[in-house]
Amino acid sequence: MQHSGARDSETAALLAGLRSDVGEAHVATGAPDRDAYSRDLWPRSLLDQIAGDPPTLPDAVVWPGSVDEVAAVVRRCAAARVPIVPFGAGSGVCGGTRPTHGGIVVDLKRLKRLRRVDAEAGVIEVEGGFVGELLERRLEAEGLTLGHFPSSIICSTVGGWLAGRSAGQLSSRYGKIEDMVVDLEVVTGDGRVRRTPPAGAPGAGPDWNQIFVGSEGTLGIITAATLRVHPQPTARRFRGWMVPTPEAGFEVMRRTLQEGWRPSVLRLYDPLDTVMVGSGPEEKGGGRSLGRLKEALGEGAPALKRRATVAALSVPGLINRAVKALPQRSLLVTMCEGDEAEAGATDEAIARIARTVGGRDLGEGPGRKWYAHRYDVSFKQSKMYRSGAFVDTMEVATTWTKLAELYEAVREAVAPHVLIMAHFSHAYPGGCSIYFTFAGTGRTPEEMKARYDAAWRAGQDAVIAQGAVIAHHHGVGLSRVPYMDRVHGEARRWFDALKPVLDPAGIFNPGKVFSE
Amino acid sequence: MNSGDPLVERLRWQLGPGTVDGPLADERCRVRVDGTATAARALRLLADAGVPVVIEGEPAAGAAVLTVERMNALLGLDAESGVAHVQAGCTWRRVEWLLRRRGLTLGPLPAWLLERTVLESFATNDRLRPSPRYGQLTDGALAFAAVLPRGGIARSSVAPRRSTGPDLGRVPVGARHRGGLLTEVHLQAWPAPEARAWRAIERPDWSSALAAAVAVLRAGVQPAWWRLDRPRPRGPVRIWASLVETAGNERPATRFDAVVGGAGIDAAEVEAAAAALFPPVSPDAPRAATTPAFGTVAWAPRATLPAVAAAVEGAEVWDVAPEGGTVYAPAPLDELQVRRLRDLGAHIDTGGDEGGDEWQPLAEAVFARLAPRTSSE
Ligand SMILES: Cc1cc2nc3c(=O)[nH]c(=O)nc-3n(C[C@H](O)[C@H](O)[C@H](O)COP(=O)(O)OP(=O)(O)OC[C@H]3O[C@@H](n4cnc5c(N)ncnc54)[C@H](O)[C@@H]3O)c2cc1C
Repeated sequence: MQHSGARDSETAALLAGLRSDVGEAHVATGAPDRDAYSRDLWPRSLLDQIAGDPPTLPDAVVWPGSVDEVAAVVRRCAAARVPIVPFGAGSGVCGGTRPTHGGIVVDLKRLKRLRRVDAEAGVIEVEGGFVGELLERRLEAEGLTLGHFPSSIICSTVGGWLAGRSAGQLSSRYGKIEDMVVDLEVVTGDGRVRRTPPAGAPGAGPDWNQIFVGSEGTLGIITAATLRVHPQPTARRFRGWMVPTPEAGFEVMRRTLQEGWRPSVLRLYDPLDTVMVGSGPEEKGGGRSLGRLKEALGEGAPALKRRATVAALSVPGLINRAVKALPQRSLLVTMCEGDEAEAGATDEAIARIARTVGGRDLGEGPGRKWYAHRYDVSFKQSKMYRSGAFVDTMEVATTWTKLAELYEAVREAVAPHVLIMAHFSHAYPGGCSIYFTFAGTGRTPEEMKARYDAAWRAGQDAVIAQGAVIAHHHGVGLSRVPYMDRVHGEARRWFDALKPVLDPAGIFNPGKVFSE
Repeated sequence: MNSGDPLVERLRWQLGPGTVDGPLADERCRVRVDGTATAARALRLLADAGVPVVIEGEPAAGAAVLTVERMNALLGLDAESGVAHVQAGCTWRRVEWLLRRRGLTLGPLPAWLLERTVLESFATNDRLRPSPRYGQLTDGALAFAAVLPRGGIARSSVAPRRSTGPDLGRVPVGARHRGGLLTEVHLQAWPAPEARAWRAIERPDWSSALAAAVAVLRAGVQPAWWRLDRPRPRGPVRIWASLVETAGNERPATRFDAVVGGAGIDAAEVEAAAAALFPPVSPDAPRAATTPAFGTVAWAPRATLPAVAAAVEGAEVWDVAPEGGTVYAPAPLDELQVRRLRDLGAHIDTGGDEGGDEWQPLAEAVFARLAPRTSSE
């Protein structure tokens, strides 16, 4: 919204209307709120901040308390042609909630009812603003689980998961969030509340569930979803395997899934990540490489250690070459669940396959350690960034045949810019994702930004050149918009046909997913 | 031989000889495309000329009929990932035959699917292969290529899952070609099973049979194929299931028995039914019925699924999941029956919006935006 003359009075009228829609207490226009809602956890935003380049602020933040209120807000903004940015918990890492065009941020966390639990049918109907961890706790009390455990479970919502095609840590058993959808309740751009046909129901296309899932707030607001749930497992088996090479690990994962087993975790670390997480049963530091990097770089770290780490990161090419000389052995962590019989049989099947590739059984320790620390991700990034270093992740996917090649190609491409390592934690019969973690430095904020951007560009270009998928579960947001036309080509026309039909006023999250 | 029709000549020139076999006005005339590139050229030329296109359908006045029978190649096979890259004009029989020769399979293919093309299945989003283990054929695509109605080529990269916006590849699925012409698909294939164990058990009614089926799923058993039927009105309901046994995974059959064992149907009867249901896929094997004789298809949620199944004489229930299942009626249901089932919460596609389908107009609007512009635009 522009702030001059007539526009000011239009804004004032809009805000007055919004207050009448959702209540005075649920509309904020103060600077702290607008500032807090001007970004998500996209690391690039922090670099901008450090460089003194503040993000665009929204004009207001509103917290509707019901679906009807969401619909009223949409109708009002559509009439005024004012952008809406749906907001879950802001844990997105691609800039998806940045209000680049100003407008209204609609925080959905007051939509937090668990409307229905039907244990017999194995479904729940849950509102979009429900925070993940609270949902799992509610379900656990009923002997159920959704089976969706992203590392960000404490700070992300059902709507955010659906909007971004999120993946939980147990995806090899329960699938990604898109695999869990029965139907959705959405508010489309005309302010109508609609329910999508259930997955599997006969009918003409398109498949509306899979159109709204992944739409990142650009086609509608997801206010509720019917999702599949499962009985809590009664047994779990943990194990670690040291396999001679990453390729040997791929083989174990692939054959396990193609034989039809459904372990809940198959998590392979590349050689550097294996060293970072440690393969012992219980070590200090939480067994997560990202956490360890942040620890080494944060303000709490001894000055010497921090300086040494920053110094090492300033010569990434050298360090990456040294890493290549590391032994190739790679840690594979597994977890199997179900009842005693299923968990046991799955664990034994993995053991049989792992032995054929020369895997060494490390016992339960590594699996239990991973489980105990599975959410140990530090959100405190700013201190590290102020010490001149940055960290980010890039999750991509391809088929098994191309996995090793893609892994090498991305590492080669980003090696001159940042230190890079990876793990492989979302596996399917046909292929797998690679979760790269990278860290770099710069002497000035501008240099940090340049390095960060160069690493992303090189990495994503390499993925596209390999014919692989540029994002497995973090979505597009703003960060991947520059690549979307190359990735989708003419398929973009489908989006261009959907957008004006579902969002006639063009107000939903402008500039996200596809460039305008 | 010059047809004297400049459009036909242009099509022949761009698509190659033998691709257009007459003046477009002749209702026997077919435009035969053999791949994504030729399909794109054909659709672009016809769109530019303002000629409507019917894909694999009945000729209509003034329209060109495009056929995909030449688009029937296996374009690539990644045996390690189990990914088959096929042209959409292939029949399922052909794809499966090519895969079996390389030790792979798409999973069980019932007789009525064998003569269907990949394109037909995707364009109608048919749900004709209920398989907890392998999934519906139309859900298992890792990538696709399609030609949009105005001739642009859309192609996705190959991966099992992605997070790059809405799943745009689902726009043409079920859209009966209005979202575009699907030309290539990457399908998930699997190591061919070493053995298949058949089981058939009975339960007194739909409720208990569906409860048993869900118990099987909850025990972690994923039948390769299954269905429930009731041969005699008010007689027992049967569950037929095919359970894959690979060298490494022998559990499904024993687990199935442990969960719902007892009262099995005579083994010879089961084998005979299975043989009729799953005839050999070799190209020289005798052809079975090309379409299943089903009248109406309804999806019902778990709570009312037994009642919906019971309300349809001769019903079969497929695609059972804990949350619901699909009821196939042997003959088309009349309006009253459809209304009754809808009252029970069933979703029925009757091809119109009389079911209060609020999505229909939205779909129409999307397809209208994709359609070739008419000369008045
Ligand atoms: C430390 C950390 C660990 C993470 N681990 C994982 C992981 O393991 N797996 C994973 O998938 N992701 C992970 N993420 C990324 C992030 O948590 C996910 O993208 C998550 O799905 C975002 O949910 P949110 O509710 O915070 O959404 P937000 O960040 O608020 O929004 C994300 C996008 O969705 C849109 N949106 C939000 N709610 C709705 C709605 N109701 N309707 C329509 N659009 C909506 C927004 O406009 C935005 O475009 C991690 C992030 C962090 C910081």
